[in-house]
Amino acid sequence: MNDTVVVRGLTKTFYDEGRGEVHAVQGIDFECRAGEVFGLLGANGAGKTTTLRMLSTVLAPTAGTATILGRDVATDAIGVRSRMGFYSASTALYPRLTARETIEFFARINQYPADKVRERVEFLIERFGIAKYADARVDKLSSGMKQKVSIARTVAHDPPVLIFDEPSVGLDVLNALEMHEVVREFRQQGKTIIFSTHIMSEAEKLCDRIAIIHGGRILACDTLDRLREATATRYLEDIFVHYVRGRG
Amino acid sequence: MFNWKDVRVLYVRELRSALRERNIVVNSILLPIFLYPLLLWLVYTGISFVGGQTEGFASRVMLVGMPAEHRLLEQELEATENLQIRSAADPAADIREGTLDALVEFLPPKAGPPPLAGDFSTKITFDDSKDRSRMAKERVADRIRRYRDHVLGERAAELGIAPEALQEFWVTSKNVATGRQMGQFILGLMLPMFLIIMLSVGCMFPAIDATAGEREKSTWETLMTTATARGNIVLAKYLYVATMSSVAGLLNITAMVLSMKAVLAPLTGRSMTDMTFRIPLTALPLIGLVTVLLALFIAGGMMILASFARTFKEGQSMVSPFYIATFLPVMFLQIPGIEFTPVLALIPIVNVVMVFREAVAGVYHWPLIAITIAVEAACVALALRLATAILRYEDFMLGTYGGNFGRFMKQRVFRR
Amino acid sequence: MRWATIRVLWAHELRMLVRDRRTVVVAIVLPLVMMPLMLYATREMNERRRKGLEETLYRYAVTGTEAAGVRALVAGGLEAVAAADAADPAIATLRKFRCEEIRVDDPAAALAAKEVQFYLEGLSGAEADTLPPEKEAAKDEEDAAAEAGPEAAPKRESVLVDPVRLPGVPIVRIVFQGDRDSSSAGRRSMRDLLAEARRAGRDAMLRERGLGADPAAVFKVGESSLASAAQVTGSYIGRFLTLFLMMFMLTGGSVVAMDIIAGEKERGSLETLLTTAAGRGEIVTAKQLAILTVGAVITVIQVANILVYVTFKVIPLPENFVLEAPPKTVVTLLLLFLPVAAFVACVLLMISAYAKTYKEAQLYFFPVYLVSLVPPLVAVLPGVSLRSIIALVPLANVSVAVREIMVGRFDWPMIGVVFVAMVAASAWTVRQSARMLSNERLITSGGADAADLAGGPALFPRHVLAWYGIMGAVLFAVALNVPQLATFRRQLLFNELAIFTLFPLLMIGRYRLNIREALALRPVHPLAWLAILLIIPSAGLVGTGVFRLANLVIPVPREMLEQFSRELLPKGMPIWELGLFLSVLPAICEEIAFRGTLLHGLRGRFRPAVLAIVVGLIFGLFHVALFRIIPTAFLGVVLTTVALLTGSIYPCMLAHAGNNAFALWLGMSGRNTGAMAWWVYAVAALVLAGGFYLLYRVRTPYPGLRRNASRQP
Repeated sequence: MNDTVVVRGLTKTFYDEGRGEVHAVQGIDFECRAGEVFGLLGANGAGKTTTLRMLSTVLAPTAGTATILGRDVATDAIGVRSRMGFYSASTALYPRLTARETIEFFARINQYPADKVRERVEFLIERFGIAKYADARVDKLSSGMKQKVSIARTVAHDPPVLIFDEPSVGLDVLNALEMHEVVREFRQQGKTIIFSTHIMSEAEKLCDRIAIIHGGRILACDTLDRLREATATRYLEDIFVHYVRGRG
Repeated sequence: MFNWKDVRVLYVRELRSALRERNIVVNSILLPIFLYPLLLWLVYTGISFVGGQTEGFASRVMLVGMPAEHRLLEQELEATENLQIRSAADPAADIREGTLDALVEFLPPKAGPPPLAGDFSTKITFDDSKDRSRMAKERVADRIRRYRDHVLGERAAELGIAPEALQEFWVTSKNVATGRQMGQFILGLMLPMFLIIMLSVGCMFPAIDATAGEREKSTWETLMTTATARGNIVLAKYLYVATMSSVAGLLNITAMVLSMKAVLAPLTGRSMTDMTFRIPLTALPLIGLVTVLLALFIAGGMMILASFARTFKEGQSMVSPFYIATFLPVMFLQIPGIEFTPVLALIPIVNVVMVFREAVAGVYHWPLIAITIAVEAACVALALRLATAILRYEDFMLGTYGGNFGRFMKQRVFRR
Repeated sequence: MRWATIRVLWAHELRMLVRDRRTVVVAIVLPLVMMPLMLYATREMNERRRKGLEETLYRYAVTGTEAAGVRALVAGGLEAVAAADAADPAIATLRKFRCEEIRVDDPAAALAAKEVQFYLEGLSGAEADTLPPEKEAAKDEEDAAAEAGPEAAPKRESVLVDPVRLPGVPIVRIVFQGDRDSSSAGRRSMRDLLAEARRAGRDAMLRERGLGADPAAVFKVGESSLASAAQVTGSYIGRFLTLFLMMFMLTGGSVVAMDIIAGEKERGSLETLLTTAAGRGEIVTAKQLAILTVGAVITVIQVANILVYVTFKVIPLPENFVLEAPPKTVVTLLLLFLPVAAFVACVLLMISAYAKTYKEAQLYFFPVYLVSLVPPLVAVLPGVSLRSIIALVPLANVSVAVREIMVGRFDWPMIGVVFVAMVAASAWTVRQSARMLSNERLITSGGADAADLAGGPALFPRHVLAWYGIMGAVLFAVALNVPQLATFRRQLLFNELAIFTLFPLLMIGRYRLNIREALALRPVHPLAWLAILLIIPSAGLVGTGVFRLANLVIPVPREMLEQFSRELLPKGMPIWELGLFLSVLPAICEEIAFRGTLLHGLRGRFRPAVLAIVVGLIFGLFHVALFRIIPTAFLGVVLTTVALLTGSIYPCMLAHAGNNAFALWLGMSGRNTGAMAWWVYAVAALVLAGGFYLLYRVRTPYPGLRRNASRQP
């Protein structure tokens, strides 16, 4: 099995001065393969973002392990990040850099071979159709343009693993559709994509397998068809409610 | 320990962004360069305006009881360019009104035989709350004192005293300090204060922008997911902030040295050729070094405080006390003649000021300079260590920590 | 205007501010703590210095052929000081002067080695007579005369002239090291001591020879001030009161003002507010009141702070400091300060409304702060009276009125005029700030437009003023500091070529401007040239008239005018060179800069009439010296109007060259246009109007001007 991402017993506990211990993620297990879109589906506060932050090494796990292409997130954080691209609706671009400079910066800082950076940048500019404003500053771009630049900078160093944390938040219909197209394209290229969302239709359309996460635990993890069989329901929304309410 | 390639990439990005940010360009580059020419123009314009105003003022003065024996004094007063002799029905009221500046009454001397034939005493009535009136009083008093000297000179001649004997001796002064030394003295007093102000001004925006500003723009997390160690990111930001601060400080020194002559000349009345404002070439490397060290120190302090803020505005509030605290030691040092001692060499900022002041005058106390460099370097290392340690805490990286520096030290450092 | 709504909004603003604890701490607590520290530091520093200098035992050496005589003089001076009236403050200071002679072989070396603070060199009369007439030889006597008071210049040959050294009189020279504080202080004290010695010696000589009087007691000058101590104190405080209150209001109000619109724009909450049922006027009023409240509170706190320090003597007060604040004064001051406070609040609000972000608002605040502090400084000038045009100038009028009120002078009619003028100014700013909130471009933050994305020519109008600001700074900084440019020719060449020609070319390259359009290189109607020929001499004469008018309000020191004439018409320069430097070169280069790129950049920003004034004013400001600004600005307005009517730079170049050549000819032929009768100027004005009328009839308007009232977003 060519599992690129392996998560075992991953746990994250925060200490909050007001609330005491907060168990944000409680021992989750899953794995992802190359050429697959793995969906993490859950409501706000379910633990999706915390899980993805642990995978992207922003947070350290309290317990458990996670490896990306055989590299442990806890012990080889830089190795993990150089092989991974992280995209979130809340992570912004640098307003005073131009689009071209942004992509180039992220290619270089993520260890893309220096002699190939320029070529890569031009390729991405062409691919995402941002040539017209490649030299305009990011703070002058519309949200649609910024989205394209964001995706380009995420894959600037051509990482084999991509993490998308609620990427469609705040996007209009057309831009959201375009995002989906891009995700499909990356899957076709053989990349591993971990895709978190709380929009059911999006998960239905894009994900090869879906993990339903609630209260820091994975309640179910399988293909859509198998989840339908297991719950005897058709729509993902009903499947979600089945597991979450059934659990609660 | 640090990946210098990554540090360079990050540093270049920070600089590039900074040079496109208006506030930073203004505070770190334009202000240090152009503030002094602007000040100069303001001073020059102000002085020529006030000069034009006061030149035209004639003091309106009324004379009463002028003794007949002193026609010469009366003629002198009438002939004086800036005095106009007037009469008034109610001089006191006119003085209060402002239509008359002074009333000069010539009175017989106090009781008893006059000490000198023709002696008189004068009473000048004026209004001390009015500048013109005060000026009139001083002008008249000055003429009368000169008249007295003239009369005494005449009496001396009648008594057979030669004018040369009466003059007895003549006092002159000679300042053997060269124009260069005078210039260095003034530079040594003024430069350190302005240097520290400019280092702090040049540092503040970049420091806040690189920390709290990143959080506000939500680019912090983007940066945290790049394939480089936290230490590299911190170092790159630190170097960038220190660069902006150093640039501001060095540009300011240059601008001040160049425009000092023209700024001071109208104020001190000396001709511009008297003083030379130049820093000795041999002092430049040392001055450059201590400026950079001081910039690193200030950058460290500001960045640490600003890293507790979630927005730019919050960052400013947190950094302001430190910003003001950097000026305080220098205020105490504005006394000329303070000696550079080992104790002073151990105090950050103060030690740099003293090294600077002495270097400008071409004086080098090498042991004290070495102590200064060691102390500043230690402070810089401590700041870097503290900054890296702070960023290990996740709530810091995510920007969710809600406290300030004091609370952090209490909870995370001292609790251990 | 619903006051209930305004109250809700106002309370909301204050609540948000109070919950921003950090801002409150920085705005209030920090200055409260810092100010005493700084004051204490300053006071300590001055005290230490004074004490240090007083307690110093000044070591000095004596040398020269008259060394013995010098020693006797010093001894005599010390005796005279001991015997003199201790009530005299100068004598009291001299009594603290302690000095000790040190015998050294080489006084100069001893001075350099800091073994002595100064040394005295006694030169005999014969030796002194052989010395070259140094400037410094007379310096001490001049210094003393200057300290005695402002000298009134005699109209005719006066006998009461400055004393000069008579031949044969010995010299005592005090040699000191000016870059050492103790050496300078020692020299000053020794000079005063010797002056006292000479006075005592002279008086003794006179008495010995039979003067039947104490010389010190003759022709005594007494003084009596009609002003009470309270009035004197009032005059000092009064001139600075408005300035300080404005400083406190500006810094205090800015605490909340910078964020009140700009910050809200950034956060997106302004739009939310604008979608509520509160009217724009109500929102603006509430925000103004919030700024006003915060500014007033901080001002009161700072003033109370100062009073506390005064009470505890942290801030030392001069002797005879008597502050009286009767109710009449306090009420009148409050009435005058209210519109000032409102004005300041509105200005701060306008900054916040204009800026797109909090940071940008802060950037604009600093220059506005500096500029706002200039009008109140008028009260510091001597001789400015409330009964003058000043009564109509906002802020300046209040500061002068306050100065007079603090002295107890209540000129009620003029106070009324000041109040009305200030209220009108505040009302205008209130209206302007309300209008700003209706301007969509200013309400929404960010948002790019095509100019920002595309760059190039579309961006130039936004940056043009910044470029000219930099040009001005470079012109000024370089001209004054580069010794190689000290000659007239070189400075002119540098200004015309490096600044007025090079910078526009840089702008054209940087923004990819079409050079023909940017420099208005267009053909002109033939009759326009005739109009220019009429304009040349008439504008010159009218300009002189304008200068004379300006001189009435802003008198120019004679010396300055004379110096300028000497520099402008250096002797020995051939005519062709004068013509080239003063006429042709400025005409070409300055027109490229001002009626070329500057006009091109600003053409869409202002209506034509305002545009002519703005460009003319900037042209005037580039001529730096205060007295040149107004007449040059007038010429600038004339030339810009020519450009606007002809759409071309060529007539402007001719007009400029002609004007300068005409002025040059007048100067060289000795004709004094400044002394002409007023009807001459009136006729010239008519001819000027005629020239413009002709231009108007054959006009080719400058393209791309702003026509109607609303601005392009």
